Amino acid sequence: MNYIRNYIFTLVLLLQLVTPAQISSNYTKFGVGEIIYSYSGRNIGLGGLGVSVLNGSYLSFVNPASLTKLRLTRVEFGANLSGSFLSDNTNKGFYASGRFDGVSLAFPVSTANGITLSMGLLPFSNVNYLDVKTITPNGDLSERSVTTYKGTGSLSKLFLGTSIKMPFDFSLGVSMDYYFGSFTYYSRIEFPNNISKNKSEYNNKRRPGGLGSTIGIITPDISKLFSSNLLSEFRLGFSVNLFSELPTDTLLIRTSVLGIDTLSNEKVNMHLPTRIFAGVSFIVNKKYLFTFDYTEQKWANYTFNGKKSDNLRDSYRYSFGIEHDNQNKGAGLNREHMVWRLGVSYEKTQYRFNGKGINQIAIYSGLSLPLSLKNSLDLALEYSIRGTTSSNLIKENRIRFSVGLSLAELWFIRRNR
Amino acid sequence: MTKRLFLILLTGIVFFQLSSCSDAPKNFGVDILSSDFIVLDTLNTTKDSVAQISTTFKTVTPLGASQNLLVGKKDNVNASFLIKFILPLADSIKTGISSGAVIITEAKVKLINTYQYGDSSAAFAITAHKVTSDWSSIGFTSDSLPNLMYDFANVSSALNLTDSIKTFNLDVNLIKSWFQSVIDTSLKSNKGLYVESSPISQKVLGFQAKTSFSINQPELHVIINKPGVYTDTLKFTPEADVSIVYGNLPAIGSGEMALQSGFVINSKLWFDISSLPKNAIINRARLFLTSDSMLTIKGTNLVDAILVSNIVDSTTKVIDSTLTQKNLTPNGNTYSGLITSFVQTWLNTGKNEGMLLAPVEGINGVDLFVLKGSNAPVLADRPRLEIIYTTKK
Repeated sequence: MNYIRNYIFTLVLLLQLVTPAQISSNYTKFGVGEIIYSYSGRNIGLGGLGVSVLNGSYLSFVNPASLTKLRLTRVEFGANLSGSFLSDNTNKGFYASGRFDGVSLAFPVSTANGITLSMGLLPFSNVNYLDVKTITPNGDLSERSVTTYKGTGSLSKLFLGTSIKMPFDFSLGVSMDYYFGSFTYYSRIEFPNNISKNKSEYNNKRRPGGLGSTIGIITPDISKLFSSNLLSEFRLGFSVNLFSELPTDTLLIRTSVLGIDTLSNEKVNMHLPTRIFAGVSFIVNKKYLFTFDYTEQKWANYTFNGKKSDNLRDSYRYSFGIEHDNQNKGAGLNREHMVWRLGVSYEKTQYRFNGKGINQIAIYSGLSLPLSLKNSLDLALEYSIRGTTSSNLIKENRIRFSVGLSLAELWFIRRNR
Repeated sequence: MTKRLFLILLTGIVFFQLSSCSDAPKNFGVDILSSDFIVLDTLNTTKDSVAQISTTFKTVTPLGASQNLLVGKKDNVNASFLIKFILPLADSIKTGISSGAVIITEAKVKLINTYQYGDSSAAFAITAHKVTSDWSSIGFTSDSLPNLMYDFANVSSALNLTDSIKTFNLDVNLIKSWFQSVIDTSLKSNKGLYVESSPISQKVLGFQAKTSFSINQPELHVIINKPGVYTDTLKFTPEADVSIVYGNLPAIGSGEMALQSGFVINSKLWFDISSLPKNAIINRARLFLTSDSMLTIKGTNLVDAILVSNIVDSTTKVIDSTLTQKNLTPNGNTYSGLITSFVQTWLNTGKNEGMLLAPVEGINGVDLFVLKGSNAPVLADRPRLEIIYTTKK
């Protein structure tokens, strides 16, 4: 019991650290920002995806079909802390911040038929950059100008999903998604040593909101095809995110000596390209889960107000993960109860500048600490390297610590009368 | 084991707490944000050959609120003033005046000199006349002057300009008639005094006008005598006063514009700023005007500055009451000041009706500012507007 209290205390501490700051680089200005593939400590520890994994002990919404093994009502929370070492040809800096990632809930409707109902609020993308440039023309301090570029905001997904077990043990899942968010792109120039010059501020706001859906399927266990006693739960998974055109309210305002006035205020469409996931997973010796996943999204087709971005290209991502679970489900923090994970991913991100693509490689580790028979505290640590300092671009060495709670309970018990 | 894990976790938290002390924001690969850049640019109406128009015109302004009573004549300026004293009399004096037991032996107007326009040694003379028609200091202008009725007889004498307090005497019969109107209110003969310049005057003087303070304002001193009983001096202060300045536009060249207090003579200045992007933010807009020091005549004790107002209707020259008027202050032969809010307003509204230029102390004197106008032969002498502005890509 003391452990639970300690972990809750820890979680509260972590959430207190969720402070807005420069978390990422200027890359996130483009498109809808940095894509967040997973909020769950478990999925992150596995490399971020797990498209083909059926598991009743965790929730994963990369593929809504993955819930058909759910036996208990389960709720999950996630938060993370991130520290980024940014560098370019001339500057270096360290920036840290935190974020509450999401919450999700799923409960079984018919365990025999794998029917579940799920809902939640999950992050989809994040924009967060802050760039400050100081210029002193000819060394004249009175003419010094400070230019600030700041981007904040996120796109989130509110969803309602279901899954069902199909004939031949196929699992099918679908969710109706509502995407919404707010992005603010702020520019300012000020003259701190010259009171005769007024500062300039431009604030460009975008508020997208629209529907989408996720459809996924997971095959039955085909490990028997390999005639090996070591292999089990060999499954293939596939899911697709579909997006409608997202109507987006845009507002451009300027702040001058006269105050604030609106330069434009219109509704335009944001087009997000379809995203597909595919993966394979299997368990070796009943203890080791291996996952191989792939996702791609044709960001070159992203349009905002009908215009494509020169700085976006088609992205893809490969990830590989191992999970060790000795299937000892006893409570407590004994080593044999813990679930350990390792992962690695390579991503060709959607960003491209001056003809040079921005790629990312990341390694992951994680563990789940059982709080009770069906509850766990999920921790993950991710270290990633993104970008390059050549061509005056930015290199990010980032370390991210994720913490999540996965809590389960038996709901909807039918009592005999 | 569990304690160790917990310690690791806490260590992690401490690490991140420490690391929350992020570095100051810097400039990383800022070219990435080029699509969002804000660009600082300048517009110099002289260097960039921006079209401009300046015109000089005369307006009629009530001078009732002027701090100075102006009188005199110089060049194109003719100034005069109206003053009416309030005459509270004790009942004993009223009785004495009515019965003839009290006689008025002398009446003198005392004025504190506060302003001079023209050479101090220049000729100056005035005449004073009994006003016979009603007038009010509110709204009285040079246009009202033809309707003013007064006796042509000069009731002043003994003008003394040598001391700091200038004085002139008034005809005691005039004072007696005013006293009679106090005694018999139906007479209404006290309609004040009209003080105008003699044709020989070559300068304009200003005197402290009626104020809310008792000091320094004009006074009427009346010496009364009850033979064998007493001699007393009664002091009266103004009930109302107003200056009237009239004349022609000053003689200036075609490439010049003029501003003059009193009349008032103002100028309008317009710049074509259509080359500025509509979405721009004006960081600084500074107006420079070059003075013609040969023709400019400054009086004494007035603030040397030019007032700039945004015009909302160039035909009626109505100024924008929502924007604070700006001052252009002198530096050598140049007057300059910030008009950032004006230019931003022109951009925001798409309506640029120009600026009204006027002396800062438009009603307290007759100072003449002659400035190089939009048609000045030397481009560098013309009014110049320097704008620093920001645009967003």
